Amino acid sequence: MKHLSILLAFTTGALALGALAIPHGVGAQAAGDAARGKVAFMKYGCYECHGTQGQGNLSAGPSLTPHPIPYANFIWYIRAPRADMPPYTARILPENVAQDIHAYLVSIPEGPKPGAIALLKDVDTGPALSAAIGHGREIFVETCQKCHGAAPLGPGLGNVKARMSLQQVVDQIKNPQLNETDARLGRPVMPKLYPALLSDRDVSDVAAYVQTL
Amino acid sequence: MAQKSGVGRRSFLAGVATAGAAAAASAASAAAAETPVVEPLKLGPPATAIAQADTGPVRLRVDDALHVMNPGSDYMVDVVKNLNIDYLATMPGSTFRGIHESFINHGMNAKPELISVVHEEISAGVAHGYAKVAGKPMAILVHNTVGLQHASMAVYNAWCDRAPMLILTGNIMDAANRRPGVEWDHTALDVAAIVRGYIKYDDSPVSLDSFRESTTRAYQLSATPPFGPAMVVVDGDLAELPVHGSPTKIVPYSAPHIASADPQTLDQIAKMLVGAQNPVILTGRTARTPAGMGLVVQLAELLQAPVLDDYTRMNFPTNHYLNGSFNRALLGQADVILSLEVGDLFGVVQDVQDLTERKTVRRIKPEAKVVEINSELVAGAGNYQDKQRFYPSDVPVPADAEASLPGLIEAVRRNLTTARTGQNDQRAAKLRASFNATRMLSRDMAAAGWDASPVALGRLSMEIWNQIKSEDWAFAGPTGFMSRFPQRLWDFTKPYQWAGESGGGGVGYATPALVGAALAHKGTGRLVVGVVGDGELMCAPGSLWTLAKHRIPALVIVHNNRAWHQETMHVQRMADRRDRDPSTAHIGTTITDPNIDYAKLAQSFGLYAETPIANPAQLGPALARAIKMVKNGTPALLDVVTQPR
Repeated sequence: MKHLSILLAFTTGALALGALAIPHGVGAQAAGDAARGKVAFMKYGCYECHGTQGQGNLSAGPSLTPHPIPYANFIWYIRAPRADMPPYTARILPENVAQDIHAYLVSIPEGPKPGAIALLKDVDTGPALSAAIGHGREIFVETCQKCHGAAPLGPGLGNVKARMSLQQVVDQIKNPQLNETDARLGRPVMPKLYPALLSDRDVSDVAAYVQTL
Repeated sequence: MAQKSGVGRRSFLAGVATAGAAAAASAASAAAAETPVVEPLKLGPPATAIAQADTGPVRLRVDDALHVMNPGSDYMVDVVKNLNIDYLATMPGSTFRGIHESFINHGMNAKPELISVVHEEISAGVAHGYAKVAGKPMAILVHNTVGLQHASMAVYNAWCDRAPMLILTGNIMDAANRRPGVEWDHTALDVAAIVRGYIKYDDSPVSLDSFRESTTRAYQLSATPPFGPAMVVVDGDLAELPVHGSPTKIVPYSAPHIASADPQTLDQIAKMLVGAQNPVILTGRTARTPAGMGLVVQLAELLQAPVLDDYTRMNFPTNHYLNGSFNRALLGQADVILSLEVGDLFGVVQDVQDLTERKTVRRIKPEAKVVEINSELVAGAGNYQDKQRFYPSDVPVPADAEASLPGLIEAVRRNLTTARTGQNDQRAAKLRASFNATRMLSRDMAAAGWDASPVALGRLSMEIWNQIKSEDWAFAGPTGFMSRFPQRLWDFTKPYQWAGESGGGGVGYATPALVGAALAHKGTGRLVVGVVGDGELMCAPGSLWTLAKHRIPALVIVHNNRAWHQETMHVQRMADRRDRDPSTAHIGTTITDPNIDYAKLAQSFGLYAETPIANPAQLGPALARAIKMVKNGTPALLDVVTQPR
């Protein structure tokens, strides 16, 4: 899997095409200033729910880092959020400030993995996963969990196999479809990460992992 | 009982007031010269004292107008001692001075032993935390009006959390006997009215016989599910004047038998559970004794049913693969749901989200059947709305869940078929995988922000766990504002390792309840640790002094996010919804400028404490040092500057 932040750096210029031309998913990064964004992240109270590092928590807000969602999806979401997040219009959170905040989130370095943390590596999580499922899980944690995790912004995926086949999950990842809630935005909220970010194998593995939930 | 003197406390006081202090002193000297020398009281152990009171009149050693040798409060104390109450938390107040003195001199300050506190809210909070660990009530003794008003919020928390306690308060019912001024201010015609909406029972007895009956009834009701505080008013005159007549003999207290559901109903429930494809068990205030957790485990394993715990009690091991508390999807799959003493069943199976449009969202299948065993179903509700929204369960059973579990387990065993048992292996495999996946996600979440400063709550939790996991430990603080990391990643396996939450959400619960829990653990050798918020601590900081005063070993860790953070988010949300500046949400919701140094505060109360810790790398060593002090018997506090949540 290619890291989102790297990819975004290459696609920043796409913003000049204007909002209507912004494809959902990648290619929508804005030229924000990370230092200003850090100040704004605190000033506008983003840290209240998401933590100063965007790490998230169970009760108030999901993680935003590492690898924040693409800017286009980010700005769509904060303007018309689902779940408990309140809305931020351009009047109280101007576009340039939102760009700065996103740049700050992108700039936050990835922390150590659980396996590299002495106090976490011995947490009993059962037998090791198969290579494919384990790989799918890594992708899920880095990419999908922000919306489909413990504080779901997207649909919960527990027992998803009861309503979607493996192929349907693969199809949804490759070509996100509109649903009722998304319709007010006129486009899917779920970013299209394939093929720019996720390979065929990535999609296959993450779909297989999701089927285990 | 014999009492020759007709001079009571009130007339004695009036005489003193009239004659003046010098004259009184002179009169007292004269009286002393004319009467036999007062021999020091040689009271036996409590049992002897009770026996003396029960078997014959109290022998007067002094017979003059200045002494009361058989005060009513001695008998009152014998009544309380008969209830086998270990502790009595109190801040002194003149309206109960008579019984206060009797507790320490007649009762020998044992069973109950007085626990000194510096605020009545702490009294009730200590009793609340104690009851959930000890499994029985302790008593509090509070001043009339002002003292009970102080205590009231903590009494409300205990009420909402269905925790028992015996409340005693003083009063002077005979207006003719009240001193002018403050004694009137500290008297009410109906003092229990202050808390009547959130106690199970109250009475204001005017005789010792009535006191015995009312106090015994109050204790019994308090300790009968659904538990709750109960109150008896101690009349000052009744306590301070001599005993008149012969109060009835005190008979040994009999604890009530707790009602279970009837066998036919349990059989019906068992058939539903055994026939279900995806049964789910919900637990709330289910385990009220150390046996409760084991019973829930037995039932869950028989059915291979996941348990979704709301963590109001220690109901289920956190490392058991059937613990599905952090996997809400399991609820959505359920076809039969068994709810055991869940305080807010509606809030579990449905939800009303904090959105501008208050939509009710159903979390369970339309066809799912809900069975509710709940002692709450026999209790009415009044002014306060703590019973939560009504959910019309399919099989409501007004009975105690823990008492019903043995019969239900037996009924499930009877109804289990070979085919049904055969499905268990498949179900177990699926639930093991689900549990492991959830734990992995929790571990990932704890890793996020691992090196952040202020300290992330996942880091704080795992640093604590690293220090205590090899000990015989108990956690005595709330975890709701810690993303429940302890329950998600620690191994809670023993019934005493968790003491629940506040019940009513009244800020100020955590610290006194931690003290009460630690008091119940005292002498067991367990390492008691708790995390309290800074806003929580500042509502009742004097609780720390009680830890030091009574040498109660415990480690208090301050989750110092320098805000009433929940409220910061609420104000921010309001500003966002109104399209107004959200950056002002800190005004009135933060505890900064100046920052409070909780280490210095704790040191001033006599605890071991270190300077505030904001660097996560310093946390482990600081915890080790503090725990060493606690293990040596010294309570300690660590002030950890933390992320908001």
